[in-house]
Amino acid sequence: MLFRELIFKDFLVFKGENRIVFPPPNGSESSLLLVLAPNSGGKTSVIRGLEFLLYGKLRREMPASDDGLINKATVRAASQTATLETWVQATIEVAGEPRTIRRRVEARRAGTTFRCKTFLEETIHARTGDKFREDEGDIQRLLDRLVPETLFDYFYFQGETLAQQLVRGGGNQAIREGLATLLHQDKWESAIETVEQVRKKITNEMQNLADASKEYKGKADGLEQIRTLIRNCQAECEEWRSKELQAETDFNAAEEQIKLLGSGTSHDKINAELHKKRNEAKSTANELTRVENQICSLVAESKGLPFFKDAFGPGLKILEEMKRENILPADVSDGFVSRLLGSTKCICGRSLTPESDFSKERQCIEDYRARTLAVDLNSGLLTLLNSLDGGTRQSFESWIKTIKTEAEELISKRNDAVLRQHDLDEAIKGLEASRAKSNIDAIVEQQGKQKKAADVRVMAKGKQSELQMQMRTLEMREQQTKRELNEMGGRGAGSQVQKLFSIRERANELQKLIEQSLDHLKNSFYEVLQDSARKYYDPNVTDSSKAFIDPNSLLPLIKRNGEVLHTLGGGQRQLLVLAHIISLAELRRNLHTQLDAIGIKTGKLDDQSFFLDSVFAPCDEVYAGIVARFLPGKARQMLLLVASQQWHEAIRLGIEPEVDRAYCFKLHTSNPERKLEEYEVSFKKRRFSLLAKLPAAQEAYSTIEEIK
Amino acid sequence: MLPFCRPWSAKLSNACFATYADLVMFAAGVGFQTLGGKSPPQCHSFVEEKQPHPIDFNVFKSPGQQLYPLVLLLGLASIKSHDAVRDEERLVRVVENYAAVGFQELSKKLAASTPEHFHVELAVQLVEVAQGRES
Repeated sequence: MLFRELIFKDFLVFKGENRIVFPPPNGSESSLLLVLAPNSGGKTSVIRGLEFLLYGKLRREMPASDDGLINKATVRAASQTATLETWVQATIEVAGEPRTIRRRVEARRAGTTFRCKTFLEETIHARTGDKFREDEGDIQRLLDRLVPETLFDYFYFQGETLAQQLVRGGGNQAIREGLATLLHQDKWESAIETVEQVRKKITNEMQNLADASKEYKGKADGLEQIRTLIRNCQAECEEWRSKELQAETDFNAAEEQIKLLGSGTSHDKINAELHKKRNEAKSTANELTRVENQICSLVAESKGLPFFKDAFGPGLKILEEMKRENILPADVSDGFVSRLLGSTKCICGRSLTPESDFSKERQCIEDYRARTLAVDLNSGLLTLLNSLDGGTRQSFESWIKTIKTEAEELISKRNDAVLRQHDLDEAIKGLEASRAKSNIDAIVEQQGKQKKAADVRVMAKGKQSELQMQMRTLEMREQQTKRELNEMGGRGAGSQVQKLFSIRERANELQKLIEQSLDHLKNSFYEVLQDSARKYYDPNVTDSSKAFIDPNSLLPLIKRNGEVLHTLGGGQRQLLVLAHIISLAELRRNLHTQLDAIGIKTGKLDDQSFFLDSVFAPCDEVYAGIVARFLPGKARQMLLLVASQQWHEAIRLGIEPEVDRAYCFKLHTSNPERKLEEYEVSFKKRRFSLLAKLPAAQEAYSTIEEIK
Repeated sequence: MLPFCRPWSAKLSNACFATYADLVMFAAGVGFQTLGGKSPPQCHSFVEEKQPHPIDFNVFKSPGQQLYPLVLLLGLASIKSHDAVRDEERLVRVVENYAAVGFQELSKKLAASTPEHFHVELAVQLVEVAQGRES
């Protein structure tokens, strides 16, 4: 299904009528439409809009009532009596003809709530102008056929969910159903069922006619039993064929491992790991030495201060006393006092001879001199006094705190380094032991696996040929019984039985043919998918991993050195899944053509359109670049929704030259925290902002604008 | 304890103390803490005997060493009078006596540990004493 135009009218974040016009299809070429959008700007609303259009519901986060689909800013701006409506409308190509279909919600106010009605409509072109006709079941059937709900996630791909489900594989019912739909398994099964019903009906009619003849009935029952046995043999044969395929895969994986081990790659791996661990051990030893030196310095620089802590109180008390007695600080030096006492005159000019009557004052000065501090002692005591003052940064108290914190940190770092060194030593010992041991043990183990797989393969082949022999014998018996019945029918029930018998035979042949075709198709499906996944994935990855398709589930896998990888960073998974779904879409279209050719009607399918939302999110920069170069040209029509913060150089360089048309979603908001410059993006050397400011307290909304 | 001093000719790789004076002062602190601030017993005097090689008191007084305030603190807290700090001989004796107790204590710890690990022991001691101070 290809789009020509998509319109959102007041749908979720989009206010007013917003349209995306797709570049016109141009022969067999592909077209790429780019949408750049900020966070919460409407990327998800596009995918949700499609869901609503196609199925009339949102599979995730469906609002309690359909009025929840109407843009909030529109609801807020509308008058209390207004009837509101929202719709998603698409002009799509069906068998080369444009058809315009829309799903519309009409909401009338009923007190504080809305009364909603939803319509599916199609435009009819009339002389008097275009009109909408309401669906009578045919529009919905058309949409279901074009995009079955189980396939929605394949074509309108959102982020990582499908990728995770696909690569994890197994157990996911939705994915299995999707693949079954892709294979049109239902159509095949229904064809087989129809033929079976015809066959049964004819058998019953023949039964009625042959009731008269017990012998004939016995033969007819016998023939049915033979056919049941043939069918059972076929089913069993198919089971063994599947086991043989699996054994083949296991055998090849073991062989690959043996080759690797034999070529010394495994030995090289151990050497590389050993080299890495030794380097780590060396840097840990250096770190340990550094920490040890820091501990030594800390011990030295501590001067043992914490051990003196009980001296702080008594020391401070004495120093405070000295301050009170004006001894500390010693502003008057001992030398000055001596000079004063040796002089004959006081500094005021009076005589200071021994005869003069100043004996008291002289004694005072003598006493003071006895207590006066030497310069270095004064300085030492002042330093001590400052250090004991808990209020300063240089105080002993804060010094002790620093010592404690640093010592704790260093001891902890040292313990970590010692432990790490121990672990690394153990790891190195283990690797050295592995290296010393030859690869023989591992090769023997792989040979064991290979032998087991070979045994299973031989057994499966044997069982198949045994069953095929059985089937040949049964088919001979079937032919013999048919001839006998034919002769008896000709004698007894006459030409009518003969005719019925002939019809039933044709039904049998048809049933066999359909079953064989389905098997063949499944096998070719697997082979084509396998080739396609390898073609797209293997040359692009940077880690030598390879893509595989599970022959039974048809789900993709990533393997390295024969081992399935479950935890992958980077973006390999995203690349694989994109390759897988694009291949599936191509196959689906081809399958429709084939089914039509053999008369199983599924309706013709046109080229498929892909909408890819946040496809780069799970990728690192390298894989984002790879995916960006991979996507263009892989589908007839592709709409790429890219978050503005992901529109970086690696993606831009891959995508920009291939874009046929570009749109941006502009977020209108009054949120003061959102800055215009943070929403600036660049496209084809032009810079523009994806943000528009609204006056305060207004409801945010988005609009769609074409980038020209 | 001398191998833990960097100037010592046969110093260990984890020698912490930059000078002998640093070691003596550290030991004096340990001694003061061990005695809980009580006066230390008289010990054999290195200063008087001049054996093996006494450390010049000026080394302690050197401003770069940052030891002098601690020497004074020890003197004030031990003698409990400011008169004490004027008498350098007395101050030296106080430091010596506490250091002697501290060295005995450190020797015990060294015997219980290994020389290679002793610097970590000292750091652990500092943390424990500082923690006691906080609590």
